[in-house]
Amino acid sequence: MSYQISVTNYLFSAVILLASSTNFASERQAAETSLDTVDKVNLVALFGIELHASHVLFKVMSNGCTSDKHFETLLVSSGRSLELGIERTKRDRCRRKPKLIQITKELDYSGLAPNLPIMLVNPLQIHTR
Amino acid sequence: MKNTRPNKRMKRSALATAISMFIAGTAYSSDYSTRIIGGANAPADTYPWMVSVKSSDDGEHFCGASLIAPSYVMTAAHCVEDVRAEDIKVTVSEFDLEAESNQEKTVAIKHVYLHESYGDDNDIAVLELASAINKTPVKLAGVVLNDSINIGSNMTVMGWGNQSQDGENFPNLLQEVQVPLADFQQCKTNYAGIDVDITDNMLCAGLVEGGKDSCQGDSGGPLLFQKDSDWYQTGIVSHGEGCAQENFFGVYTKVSSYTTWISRATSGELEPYVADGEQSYDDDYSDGDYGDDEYDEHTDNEFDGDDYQDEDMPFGLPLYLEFIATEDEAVVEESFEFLNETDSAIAIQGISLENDQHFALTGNTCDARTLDPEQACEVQIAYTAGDEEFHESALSISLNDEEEPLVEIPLFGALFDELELDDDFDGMDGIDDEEWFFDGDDAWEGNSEEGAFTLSADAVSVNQDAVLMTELEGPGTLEFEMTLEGDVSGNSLSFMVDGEVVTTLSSERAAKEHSMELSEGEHQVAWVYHKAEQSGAGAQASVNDIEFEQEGQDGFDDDDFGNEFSDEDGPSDEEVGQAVDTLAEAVGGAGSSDSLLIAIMMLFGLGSLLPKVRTQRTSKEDIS
Repeated sequence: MSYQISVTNYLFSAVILLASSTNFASERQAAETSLDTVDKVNLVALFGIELHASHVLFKVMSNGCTSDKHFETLLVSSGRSLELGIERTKRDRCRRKPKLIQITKELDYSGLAPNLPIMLVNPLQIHTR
Repeated sequence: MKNTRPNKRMKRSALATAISMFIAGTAYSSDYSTRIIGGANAPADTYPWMVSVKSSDDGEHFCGASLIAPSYVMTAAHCVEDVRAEDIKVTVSEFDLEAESNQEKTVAIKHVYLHESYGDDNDIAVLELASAINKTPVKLAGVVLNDSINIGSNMTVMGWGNQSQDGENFPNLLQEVQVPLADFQQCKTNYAGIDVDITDNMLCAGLVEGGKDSCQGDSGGPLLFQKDSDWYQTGIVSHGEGCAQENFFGVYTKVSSYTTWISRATSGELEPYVADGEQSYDDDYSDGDYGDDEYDEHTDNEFDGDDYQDEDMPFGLPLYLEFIATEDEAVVEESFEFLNETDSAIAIQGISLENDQHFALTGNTCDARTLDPEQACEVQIAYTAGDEEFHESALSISLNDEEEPLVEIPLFGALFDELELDDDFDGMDGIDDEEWFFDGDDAWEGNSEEGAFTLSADAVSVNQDAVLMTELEGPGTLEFEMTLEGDVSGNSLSFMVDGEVVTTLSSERAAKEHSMELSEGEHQVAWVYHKAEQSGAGAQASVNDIEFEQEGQDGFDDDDFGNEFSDEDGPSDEEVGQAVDTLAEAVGGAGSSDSLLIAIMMLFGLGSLLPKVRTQRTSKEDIS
């Protein structure tokens, strides 16, 4: 199973990830409840995401000091769907000119119902440069 | 034998460069808008060692760097981590990212040397160039110099980084901003509050209130400290909380912590860094146009904390003598002493002057003398000004010393004008108001109302220069603001120290605050307005808020002036007057009015003949 959202190269093809959700409002409410513990400030803007069965690939902006170990993935159940949050655990305070980099993180589905649609709670952003 | 004569041609050549820079001026465009963060456009083609690190694919700039040796540039480790050498290139002497100039040179990277302990510390990397670059490298601050920089001393950071604190605005032209060295403990404490560790391998610079800082895109670029006219790299742009934020200074890699590591990187002792996915490849790059033999090995000198010291003359002799005569004082005398600083007796066989009617020996206790160790004698020379503005001669001293059989001291004499200031002139702090001189067209004047030295461009003829000059005794810190308004771009206002151009304004409207450290000894500082073409109506140059703080002389309570002034009562006018006289004597010293000579020499293309004067204190046992 592989879901993709690509927002690089000025294209935004966010179609798939939430498409299976039939009740977006209720799902979002559930997501906010279930991810209450997540500091929304740390939910980084993603410039692209690719979801695989065991891991997730996503693109974020880096100032030179961003790597895989600076992110955590949060996957929780909210009834009829799973909610995915990608949290930055360490800020990038370096002063390289920002660039897009791709990060890979494992996903831990243990204890979660399989085959549920996944809702992404991170904001998505278009790369405009 | 140390003979100053053979060096003259070389020094003239060096001076010609400085003069041509100052005559030509440099393109300077200042519109008072926000730069780097809180900075301004750098003068074009002024920093030959400034480097832009770019992507090989699209040529996009992403980090700064600095040329530290003909084949090496230094940058931040985070700029090149996970980057293959073939994926990057550098442009040395870069200024405008969008326009190629004949100054810049772009080269590929042969090897990347990333600090082996890079993580949250050690943010430093050295890139070996595929071919050597024939540009002047920046000097690196050693421990001695670094530790001598006081908190609050201004440093300069430059780069092509973001100019906006809350958005993105990346410039094409190199930007620079002055940021004071921050208190390390304060910086460490502030960052500890957000769980960021500031280590002893880092420097902090910026304002507590924020507003001036490096930012994203500046990483790897140099943080510089200017001592006299020389630039020393003290830091590498690394990181910071946001940019120019209140209470959060910019954080820089401390260069002096890595002198050994840099030496190893530039001498082939370190293994090149291999990024993930990068193939280790053979050294199949050409050596470029420049063989190693054509370059000095800079590393030894660069990492020597003493490399900013000037050379000494033997026997405590001056490198030169300068005589400044004025209309009121047409005959001036200078003297020096000869100290036998060797372990054996030295016979002075003869002292003679080159044939010149303007110089005469008026005192001589040295001729035909044998001096025992630590014994000294004295020579006095008079200069009589004539109709010509400038005279040059030399004094020769013949010795029975194998190492120094002949010592020559150049003599320079000139007729200059003293700038008369109103009694209520208040345009400077720490400089005696009787120590200002001018040359060229009589255009500079002390403006009491504005507390500034001002120059009306209308008073200067085309192709002429107007020099404002004084002489300062270091060590100390000189601060001032210089402004050029309403003028055409071809005209310029340059600030010079010891005959070398430090910075230049050349624009319809340009202003610059400047701060620099002066090393121990006398220094001639000058502001030179050059008029290359007709000025606009009302064009004006000005120098204001001049402040010189001699190191160790905080007000008048330094030991040199005694402690007769009580802080509680404050000094009386008479006491202040006496102290000012004392200070003036200390600042000016013998021949202090000679400073004007430097300007004349510069105008005659002779300024580079003047080495930096070092005050030599000798403990003479006997002057007879």
